[in-house]
Amino acid sequence: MNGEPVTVSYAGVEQLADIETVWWTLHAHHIETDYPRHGQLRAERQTWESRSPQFAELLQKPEAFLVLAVAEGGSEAGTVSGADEVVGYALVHFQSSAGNWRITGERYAELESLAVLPTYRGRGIGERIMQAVYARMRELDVQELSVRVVHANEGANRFYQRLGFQPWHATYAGPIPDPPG
Amino acid sequence: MREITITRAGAERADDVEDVCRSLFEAVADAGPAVPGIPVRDLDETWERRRANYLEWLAEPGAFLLIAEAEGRVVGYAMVRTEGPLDGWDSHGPLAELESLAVLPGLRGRGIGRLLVEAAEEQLRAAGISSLLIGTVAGNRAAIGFYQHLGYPLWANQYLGRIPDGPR
Repeated sequence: MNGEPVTVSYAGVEQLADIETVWWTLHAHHIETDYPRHGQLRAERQTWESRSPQFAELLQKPEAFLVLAVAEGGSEAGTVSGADEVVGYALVHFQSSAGNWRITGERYAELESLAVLPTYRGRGIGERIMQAVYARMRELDVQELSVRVVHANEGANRFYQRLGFQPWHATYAGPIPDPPG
Repeated sequence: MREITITRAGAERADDVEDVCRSLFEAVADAGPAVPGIPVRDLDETWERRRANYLEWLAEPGAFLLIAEAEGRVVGYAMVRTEGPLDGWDSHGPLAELESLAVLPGLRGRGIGRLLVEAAEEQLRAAGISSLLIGTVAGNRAAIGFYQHLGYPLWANQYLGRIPDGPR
């Protein structure tokens, strides 16, 4: 079983490669969930080679950071050093302004991506990662954090609602219909 | 109903949509903050920021305004941008985003919004664009039914959280 102790720490772009395995499980979930009612708009079959440069660019923004949850003595892929294994991560960057809303400070945090390996879920690792995100935000005096979640991903919507996140914006999407006959 | 004309325009007409834009954000402000503790900016500041956004977006290739007029008066508008693919999402073709859609309060429920969306679709089809994203404030119940009916169901939710009180 996955009873190994899990430690949570901060990292930067130099450790981006360590999240590849966890990212794949998140991406596979997006692909599997599929959203047939959105017709053409569905999760793209990406590769780490196409996604990681986007993450790297975000991590090079000022004060952007990664949170890594590392299991000691993990035996699966995603090895950091020796037998340690990254089992969860969050990628956070900062945005200035917030459209029509007057946020508390000059900027807010954007949670670009957060995932935990399926075999490690239900152990509160996601919450611990979020506590680490909050701690860094406090140090930087940033009060608000935004995240975008696909509507059909019920687990993710519940996770953020349970943490007290409030609905802010909604995005509707679909294929443009053929012209009326 | 008075006859409605819809005209495609660019940055040169951004100032013509000010009254309708303000009426939209008045309604947003009246509805209260979408997120408790995060107030809406005041109307002058909102319009100033919106105007700057519109001018920036209308300088992008493919972006346009649609202006609905009745008897020479602007009664509604749509602001549309065409963008590259969303990170991580494959639209199987070019994507556009309806950034704003607004109709003067006294003239809502007469199909002007629908005319604007259909005119946008016509323009986008002609430009070879296959999918449309529409951003709204959360909790706008009227928008859910309106866009769903036009073939655009709710796709993604953006949440805002605040850090819990006190260090741990």
